[in-house]
Amino acid sequence: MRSTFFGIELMRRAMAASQRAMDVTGHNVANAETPGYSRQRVRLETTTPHTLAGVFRPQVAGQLGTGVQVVAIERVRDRFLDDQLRATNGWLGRWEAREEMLGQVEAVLQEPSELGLSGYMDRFFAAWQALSTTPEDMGARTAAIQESEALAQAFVMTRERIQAVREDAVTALRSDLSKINDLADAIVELNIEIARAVVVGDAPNDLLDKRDLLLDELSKLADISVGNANTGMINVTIGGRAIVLGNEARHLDLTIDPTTLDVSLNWGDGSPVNVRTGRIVGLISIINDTVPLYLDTLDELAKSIITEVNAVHASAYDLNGNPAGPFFTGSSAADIAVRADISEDPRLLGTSASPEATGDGSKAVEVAQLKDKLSMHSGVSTFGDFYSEFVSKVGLDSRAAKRAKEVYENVLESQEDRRNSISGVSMDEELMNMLKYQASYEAAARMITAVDEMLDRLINGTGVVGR
Amino acid sequence: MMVDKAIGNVNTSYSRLLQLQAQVSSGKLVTKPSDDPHRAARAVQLRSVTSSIERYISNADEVAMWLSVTDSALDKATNMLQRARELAVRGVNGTLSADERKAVAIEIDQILEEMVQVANTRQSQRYLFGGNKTRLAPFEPLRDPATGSITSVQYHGDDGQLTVEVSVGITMEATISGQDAFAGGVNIFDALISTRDHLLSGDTQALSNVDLENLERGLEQITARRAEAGARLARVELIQQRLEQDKLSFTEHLSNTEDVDIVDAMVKLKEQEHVYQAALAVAARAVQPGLVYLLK
Repeated sequence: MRSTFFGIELMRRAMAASQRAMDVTGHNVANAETPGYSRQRVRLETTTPHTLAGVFRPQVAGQLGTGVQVVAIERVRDRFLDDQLRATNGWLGRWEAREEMLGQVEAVLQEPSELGLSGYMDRFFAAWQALSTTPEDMGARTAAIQESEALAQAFVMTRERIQAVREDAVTALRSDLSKINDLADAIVELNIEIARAVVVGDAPNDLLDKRDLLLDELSKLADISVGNANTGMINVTIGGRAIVLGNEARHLDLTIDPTTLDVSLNWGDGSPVNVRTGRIVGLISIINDTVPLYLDTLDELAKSIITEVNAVHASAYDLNGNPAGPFFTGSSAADIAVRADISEDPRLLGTSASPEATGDGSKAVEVAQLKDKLSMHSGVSTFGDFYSEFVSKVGLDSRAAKRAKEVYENVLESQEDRRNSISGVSMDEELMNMLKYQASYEAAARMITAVDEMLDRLINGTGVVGR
Repeated sequence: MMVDKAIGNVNTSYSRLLQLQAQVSSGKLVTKPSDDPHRAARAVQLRSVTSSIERYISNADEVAMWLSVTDSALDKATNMLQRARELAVRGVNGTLSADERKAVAIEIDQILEEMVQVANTRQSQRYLFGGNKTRLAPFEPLRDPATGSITSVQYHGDDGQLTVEVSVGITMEATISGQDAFAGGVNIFDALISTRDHLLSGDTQALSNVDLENLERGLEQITARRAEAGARLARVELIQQRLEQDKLSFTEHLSNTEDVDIVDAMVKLKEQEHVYQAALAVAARAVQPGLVYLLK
């Protein structure tokens, strides 16, 4: 026999399930805009049915349903999409970092304009041309020295500012590394909390969302792969070595080579970190390869200008009739400068091919003609060609980074769309659910009323004959 | 999700709008190398070439200036020598009295003094005829201590010339050698001195035999140098014209390379404004009420 109050209990379960479902709907609505949130849904199951025992058992329809229960609150999420999206994130991070830094280098160059190094080179050679027409004129001499100093300073400044971009990149790398280490720690903490919940059989959906969000963030910094560990914990590896191993995190360190200033990443024990994507890879490529190459190019140009100008100047005579010696000091873009005594005394500038001929500007002409001399690339290009090639290289590097970034942004966007279409909260859907659960709650309540009326009839309206 | 998409579209459209606005307001197609690396490199090179051409133009102007100064100095010298020859011819004529001959000799002496001044012409700190020894007066007159008249003229200059580059690898001499002009085949000063002295001593024989001949050859010598200066001046004028044309075409080239075609850019800007408006309109629709409003 079934219990007399069986119907009330059955409907109580139905109402409880509707309430739970309504709560979950509310949670979804509340978190519709929460970053990293995945839609949750209740899994309803029937409760264990009664098999009614009785003497006349075969004659009774068997197994009476006992109602509904919420067996789980599930997170709607596709792990495969997460992996794809994180891989994209890594590439995006790598190119984004490069684009950011190369944009700064471009800003330093200020090309094409009068303000870039090429403008200074043009004015330098023009000043020597002007000098060649009036070599004994102090005004022309001073002007040539000033333009030469301006060129030297432009080299030094440009180099310093590109160097500063490199230092910026190192700072950014440091902050990214500490972010990676913090994220690893945070993931471990979540791992521990999640394990605690999983052990007692709960589904810690919101904690899982939080952890996934951290993984998304981490994937932009370095290429990670995620593996499952026991009791809901995960392992995270970078370049084949674990940075998160269940309830334990490892940290990455940065080493800077004292001579080359190149950076490298290593695990606490000194072994190198193998990374292919992520912001840190972009930054390291800027620091170790791109910027040093740019600096070398500038140095090479400055060095050739120093050598060529000095060779001519050393064969010239100054206004006092003495051999003029070198014009520039230094050997690279870092230390190029006009010889100190020349910049103080314009008479020491060498323009003449002979000691007595003060009005001879033939050596100034030779210096000016260096503009068109094929001194670079072992005699196939001029200083100007060499420099404009450099500008074009920086431009190409920067554009390549920008384009790759845009490509990965688009890919990421479509992957996010796909993930949102699965995990995102749709207000319309939630409201439909709300209506559904509200209606089923009301229906259950109505059932209880019906059962109540039946019991009322039984208790108060039955067996009252003659009363 | 729709909202995200709409925002993304509005942003993309807006950044394109900004880029076009930057192009129109700056007038530059390439504001940084990555906009178009090859174009940027080309612009850098073209600007450098334009700068060279501008410099060559002022160099050519300089050459033209020196040559015309030289020309006018030699013109003066020619006139003076012509006058000296006329005077010498008059001196050869035996009908002159001693006093008259002396007056002629004095005029020749004045011409001599002036000739030294002309030969020491200076233009902006530079002696025109001293080669590259531009700080010393190239022709130094030595005088008889008793009479103060010039007995000989010494040359202190050298053969160097002011050499100026007027095009890639093309240099021009902007001056004429004073040695060649005044003391070359014929030393003009010596010719004048001896004319004066022979006039004073009344040696008409020497006047007609030697001095007239020398003055004549001196005149030819100066005229020849003047013709040389004139020819160079003509050449430099041609170069100037060509440089001006080069400047024009390279400036145009540079402008084509890095400047925005303003009509084209304006049309694109207008277009993009419409696209942006459309994106905004779509975004406004994307934020439409869902079921939530209909349930009220």
